[in-house]
Parts: sequence; C-alpha cells; structure tokens
Amino acid sequence: MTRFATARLGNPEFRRNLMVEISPQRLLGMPVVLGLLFLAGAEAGGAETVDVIAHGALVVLLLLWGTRLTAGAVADEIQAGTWDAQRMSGLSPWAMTWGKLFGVTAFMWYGAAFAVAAIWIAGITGMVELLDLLLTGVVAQAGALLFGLLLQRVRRTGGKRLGVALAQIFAIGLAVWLTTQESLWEARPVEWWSLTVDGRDFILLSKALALGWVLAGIHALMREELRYRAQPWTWLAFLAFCAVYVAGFGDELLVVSLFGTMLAVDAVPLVIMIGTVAGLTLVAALLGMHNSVEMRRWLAGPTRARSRPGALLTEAPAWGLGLAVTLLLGLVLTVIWLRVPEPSWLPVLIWSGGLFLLRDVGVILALNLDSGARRGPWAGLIYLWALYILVPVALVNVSPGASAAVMPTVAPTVFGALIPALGQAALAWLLVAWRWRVAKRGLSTAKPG
Amino acid sequence: MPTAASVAPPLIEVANLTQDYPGLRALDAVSFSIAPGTVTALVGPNGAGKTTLLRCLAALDLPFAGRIRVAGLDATERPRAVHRMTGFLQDFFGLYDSLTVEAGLWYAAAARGVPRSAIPERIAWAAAAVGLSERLSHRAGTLSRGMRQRLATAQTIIHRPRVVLLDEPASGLDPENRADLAGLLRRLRTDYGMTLVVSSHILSELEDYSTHVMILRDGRLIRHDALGDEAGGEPGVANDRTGPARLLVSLSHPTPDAAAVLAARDDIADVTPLGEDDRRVFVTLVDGADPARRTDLLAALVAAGVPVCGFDVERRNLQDVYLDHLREPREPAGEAP
Repeated sequence: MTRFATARLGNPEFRRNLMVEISPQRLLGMPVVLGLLFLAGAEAGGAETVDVIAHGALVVLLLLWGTRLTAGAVADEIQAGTWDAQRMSGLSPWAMTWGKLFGVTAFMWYGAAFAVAAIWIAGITGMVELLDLLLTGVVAQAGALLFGLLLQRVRRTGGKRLGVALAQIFAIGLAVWLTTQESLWEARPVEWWSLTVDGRDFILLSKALALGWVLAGIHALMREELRYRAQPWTWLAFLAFCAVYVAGFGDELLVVSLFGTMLAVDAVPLVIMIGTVAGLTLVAALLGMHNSVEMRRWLAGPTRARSRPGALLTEAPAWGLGLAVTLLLGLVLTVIWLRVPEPSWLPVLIWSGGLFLLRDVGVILALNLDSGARRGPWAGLIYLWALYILVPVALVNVSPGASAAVMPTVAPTVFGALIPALGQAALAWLLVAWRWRVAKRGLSTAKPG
Repeated sequence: MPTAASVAPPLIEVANLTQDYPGLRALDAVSFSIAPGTVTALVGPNGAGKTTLLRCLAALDLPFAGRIRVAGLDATERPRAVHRMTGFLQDFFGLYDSLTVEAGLWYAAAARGVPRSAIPERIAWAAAAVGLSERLSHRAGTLSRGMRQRLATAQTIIHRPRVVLLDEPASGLDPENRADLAGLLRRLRTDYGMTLVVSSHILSELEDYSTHVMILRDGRLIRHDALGDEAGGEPGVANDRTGPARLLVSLSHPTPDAAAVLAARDDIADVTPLGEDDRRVFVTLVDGADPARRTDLLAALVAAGVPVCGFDVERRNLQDVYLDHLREPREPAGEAP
C-alpha cells in the first residue's frame, strides 16, 4: 500500500482493532459502570473519594487490563493463526506498532477518558500529575507489547499464556519502578552530568524517553517479523543511550567511594558505561538468538556462498553487538587509564569483567542453543543467580577474596581474577563448540545462501 | 531432479533450496520451476517438507541456502515484494470471529494495499468467487467449517495475487465443500490466470484440477512433472503417442493358452496373468501409446480366436504414481562433516 493510500484509509490494523474492541454495548456499558462508581464515591466521601476511585479506575484500565491486551497483541494473533497473514500484509512496521498499541487498548482509553474527566472535575490532582499518570500507562502498555513480542520470538512454539503473563508482569513492574523513582526524585533536584535538573521534570522527561525507546524497540522487532532487512542500528543506539544516560549519574551513584579509592575523573563515566552495556548484553543473551541455523547463516555472511560480509554486522545477534561495544569501551578506558594509571587494578577489573561477561554469554548460549521453547531464558537466569548470588556467599567462608575468581570485584589481581576469568571463558566456549557440533549432527553439507 | 518442461518463462524458480531447523534438514537442495497459469499439486507424506516449502515460497521463512525467485524477484533479497504478489493460506488458518464477513474482507483488502476506491468491488468479487455473497453480514464465528474455509480463501486472493499457495485447503471439508473448492481453484487458474501450488493428501481431488504434480519425500523432490490427461499415460508421461502402454485384456471364459498367444508376439514386452481363473491378463504393448497399435493387437487376438471381452489401457491415477514413488528405496542422507 502506498503511504498516500494508507493515510487516506487510516491504519487498517488500528481500524480492525476498533471493530473488534468497540461495540454499542461496550460503548454504553463503560460510562454507566464508571458513572455509578463515581456517583457512589461522591455520595460517600465527596470529591476526594471520586478522585481516589478515578485513579483506581485508571490503574485498572491502563495498567492491569491494558497491559494484558498489549502483552497478548501478537501472541493472540499467533495463537489464532492470523499472524502470518499480518506478516504478509502491506502494513509498515510503524503502522503495525501503533495500530496494535492503541488499537487493542482503544476501549481502555475510552474508559480512561471518563476517569480523567472525573479527576479533572474533582479538582484535586494537578494536570501535570495526571499527564504523568497517563504517560506511565502508555509506557507500561508499550513495554508489555515489546516484552510480549520478545518472548514470543524466544518461545515461538511454546505455550503463549506464560509469555503473555510474564510480559504483563514486566510492564506492571516497569510502571511501579517508574512511580517509585518519581517519589524518590520529585522532592529534590537531580544531578546528571553535572547538571542540576528539577526532579519532576527529569522523571517526566525520562518517561518520555523510555516511551520513545520502547516504541523504537517494537518497531525494530516488527521490522524483523515483517521480513524487512535486518539492521543493528536501533540496538546500538539504545546501548549508547543507556550508557550515556546511566553514566550521567556518576556523582549520584558515588562510584568513587564504591571502589574505595579515587578514580581518574575521565574513567568514572566509562566504568559505568561498561557496566551498563555489559548488563544489557546479558539481558540480550537471555532473550536473543539461540538458534544454531540462524547463527550458521549469520556466520556464513562473508563466505562465497552468501557474499555478504556486511551481514556480520547487520545480522549480528544483539549479544554479539553488546560484546563488541563492551570490548570497544574497555579499550578506550585502558587508553585513558594509561595516561593516569590509578588505581593500578582498574584494567584487571575491566578485562576480567569482560571475560566474565564472555563466559556468561557462552554459558547462556550453551544452555539455550536450539532448546526452543523447552528452556527459554530460565536456565540462563538460574545460572546467573547461582553464579552471582550463591557462589560468592559460599566462597566468603573459604577465602574473603575468592569471589574475585568468579565475578568482578574491587581490587582484583591478575592471578586472582584475570586468569581464572580467562579459563572460565575458554571452558564456556568449549562447551558452546560441543553443543554446536551436536546441533549440526545429522545435517548434510549445504552452504547458506 | 528434472523439472517440468514448459514454453512460458517460469513464474517461480527454485534452485538448491535447503531449509534447516535445529537438528533437522526439512528441505534438501530442492530445485524446480513453475510456469505461470499452472496448478501444482504438492504431495508427500507427513514431514516431507511441504509446509516448509510453501512458507519459503511465501517469503515468510528465510531459507538456509539456495535461491527462490518469484516473478524474477529474489525472495531472500526482496521478501516484501514477494509478499505483495503472493497469497498464502496456511493449514491452520485463523479468522477474526467477531468481525462480519464483509469487515474481514475489508481488513484483508486494506492491509494488502488494495486502493480504497477498489475495495468495495474487490469485496464483492472475492465474496462471489467463494460463494459468500449472501453472507456478507454474518460474523465469521457463526460460519460452518466449509464457509470459514471459503472466507479464508477469499481473504487470501482479495488482492489478486499472481501466486496462490494453499496448504491443505480441503482438510476437514465435506465432499460438497471440497467439490466447490476444486471448482474455485480451477476458476482462479482459468479465469484470473493465477498460479497455484496446493498441498493436500486428497490426491483424487488434486488430480481433478492440477496441471502438475510435485512429490516430496524426506525434504527431497523426487518427482515434478506435468500431469497426463489421456489414457495410457501415467501422470507425468508426455502424451506423444510413443512409448509402451500397459493393457488389461479380459476374456469371456477361462483361456489358459491366452498368455502364451500374447507372449509369442514381437510387440508384447511383458505378459502377466492376473488371478488364477485364466480370464484376465496384463500385457505391455510396445508403442502401445499409439492407438493404432492397440487396434492392431485387438484385431490379431480376435483373429486368433482369443475370447476377448474387455480390452483397456491400464489407468493409473495420481495416487498410484504417488504410492509407487514412496515405495522406491530411500537414498541415504549425507552426513555433516
């Protein structure tokens, strides 16, 4: 469909959702139920009670019900056997994104409009607070759509209910976390990259940025689902944004005192950036490409059969790009450290940390390679929990510094951290190589094309 | 594997198509071409790779290796362009049950990029093509299995694709609906020039409307030919009036020496008595595809006093051919290095 035609028609996906979600009975029923609730509240406790009830209605409609609908927006299509037809449609990734996000929740927003009207009439909640609440609702709904889509990719053949439930839990958790941050920050100014910003303004802006990134993430996944050419730029830009955003809190996070020694000023943001990117890389490894066939096709990019060397970048799994960015940041930090080589253990920390990350990605890959719906991200999560929570606790009694051999810690040594990390990373990737051979067993030779 | 010879340039070209799933090779170096305006029956046992092949042709799944070209477009490089000219009805299709037939068709047309001004005409056309014109206001959820299949088919063709891929479209339909579906598929080919690839296990019906047959086994293409439409030829054998023919000679009463009379002739390559009552004999007549040779044989038998009461070319249907191929020994699969 041409863009012109799309614009004149409206978004078919949005209109279809309206046809499914909206009916005369529902249009009538929602205001009647809410009106009765507000009237009862006004009778019982006046404007304050109406305000509380309307807030509760918003939470139920936008957070509880709305996130369920967006979490299942794609899963329900897969379950119903309509998703492949949608993938072959002429709809653009963006049309599919907003058509689903605002289409499946249209009835919820219809009800939310009455709740907003009640809040406005009650006159207790300010407009900024109200806008903040609505923004939180959109972020949560978009987050549920994103996470639901991600989980469906990991568990394509598995049960859908669990994925939808997890996506909804994630979205509600995100909304709760954002609200918590709000209460923490609104009372005081925020120090960010040496700028002093009003706490409320900062959290509002952060929520708006979060919404932008969630939408960008959904768009990128929709692109892949609709078979547009793979591109890594959204993920790379997100890594860069997160690294810069989190590093801006260097002062607030008190990184200098956490390390127990003075770091060179230039090094502090980079240390935080590396930690941020490493964390996101682990998340990408848990939720990303574990299919040996896709990996073989990706690795064959530069071969004569495919003759597409650029595919090594454009089709790279997110965890691979994360590892590359971590390596790049580690190199930059090492160069900066060479100018002011204090503290002496900083390169050991960074490179042992990089090797631990490589080990973790290797183990997650070995655990999940071709496991499909059987394991999902659970085996990797259990592994990380055991390694970073259980093992250090167990090692405390053996030797106070022993945990440096399994995870990044302050003041590591070459023999206490770097060499053990190297050995573990090598072992993990030997395990991957073994799983790789098992995955290839029974397949005849064919060059990916 | 040889592919069907055709004068028209192929609409679909597949070269060395290989598709892997973890631990499984679903398609193994499959190559063929399909001419425009044909109906190809895609048959094979469960797990042969039929659905995988259809999904690759629809550019829904990226193949592991090989090339697919649809109307000259590389399905790997330009999958969205292939989507535009393709309609794919999967085995377990879905409908929006709360939408009316008309609304469902509207969505399919709008999502497929049919211009707004043309949508009402397309809805009317697609509904008429599948016999749903009287049910436009009915909700999909209230339709019978056969009617749902018709609606799904209408949604698949509403943008008038050049290529229509149907995965087990007759599954679960009663005989009347299957006959209607066969008629619709014939019309799509003859009236609208669409090229169809239809997978099914109901071989007798595929034979009714298919022009070609493609047999897959263990992910490999073991046969792809035009279907013969005259007696004497099995599907896939060109009807050029040359070549042998298998004949069934029936006798009015037991004639033990009939086999010997037939075997003595130079133009008989093979004689096989059927049963133990000496009343039926299978023979292979050299150049028997030529009706004149068959006339000669019949005349000679009558002249020799053989009590012929039946004389017919053995008719082998698509199912016979299919089963023959499946009984052939399997080739061992290659091993990974």
